[in-house]
Amino acid sequence: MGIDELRQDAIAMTRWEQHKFFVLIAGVILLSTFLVSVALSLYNSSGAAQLDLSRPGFQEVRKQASRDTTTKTFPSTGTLDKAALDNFSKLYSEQAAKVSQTQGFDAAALSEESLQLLNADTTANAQQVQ
Amino acid sequence: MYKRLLIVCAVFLAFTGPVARAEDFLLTDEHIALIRTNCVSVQSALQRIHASDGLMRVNLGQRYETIATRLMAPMNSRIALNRLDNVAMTQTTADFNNVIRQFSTNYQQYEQTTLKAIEMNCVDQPVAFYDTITLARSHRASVHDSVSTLSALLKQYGTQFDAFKTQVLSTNGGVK
Repeated sequence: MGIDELRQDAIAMTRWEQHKFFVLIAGVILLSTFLVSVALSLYNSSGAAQLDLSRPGFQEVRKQASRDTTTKTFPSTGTLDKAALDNFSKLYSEQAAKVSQTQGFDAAALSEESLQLLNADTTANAQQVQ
Repeated sequence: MYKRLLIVCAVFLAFTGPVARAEDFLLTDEHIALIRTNCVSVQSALQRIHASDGLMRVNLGQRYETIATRLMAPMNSRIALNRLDNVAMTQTTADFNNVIRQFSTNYQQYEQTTLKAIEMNCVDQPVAFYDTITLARSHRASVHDSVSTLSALLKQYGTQFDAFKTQVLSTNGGVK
């Protein structure tokens, strides 16, 4: 096909045919943006964001997150003899003890005594330092 | 008449003058100035609390899920397969799962509120900042209530299991 033939074909093309490729690229970008928006919306609304320690601000605590690979699953089938009941009792006590050791989300952390938001002494100390 | 009107207006202004209401606590100009001065350091403290709360949420959530899925559910299933009756333990497990969901929802609300306080321009919006902190406190209390309820349900299930164990061993010597 010579260059003249190509030029003639180009002139004969409709507007749609001329912009097909651009429309394809724009459509793909729009579709990707839409799907990413849906994914981000689900990420925030489902509560997964609160469990994601890879977010900025969690660098210091990331390594402290425990990954429980040691707790055995109590078998859901089998007889309920003394050995099985004792086994469950041991497993349950271990896990319950771990939970009870944690004083979760007590009010003291955000109290006025802790945050000192309305404390005039903080201002006075800052002025003395200056 | 104008005198009376002036007196009424003066009394009205005296009580609703240069103060800003924040929830049930009346913030005076002095409070607002203190908030503007202290809020940046408070935001740093909030960031540290936010990080440690995130860690606590992950660890606690993992433990609750472990207990619910690896212990409670298999035990309930095994009791049913052995044709033994313990409706109370099943009910406690259902309540435990419901409260875990509630804990997750409450924490989500609390975390979003705390993040809002951290990201806010507290120097320009001291009253809004104070309101957000107050709201975060309230949400944190809800999370704490969920955690307390979950601890109580754990104890309850433990007690019910002990009673069940005593009953099974005394009547059958264990189901074989």
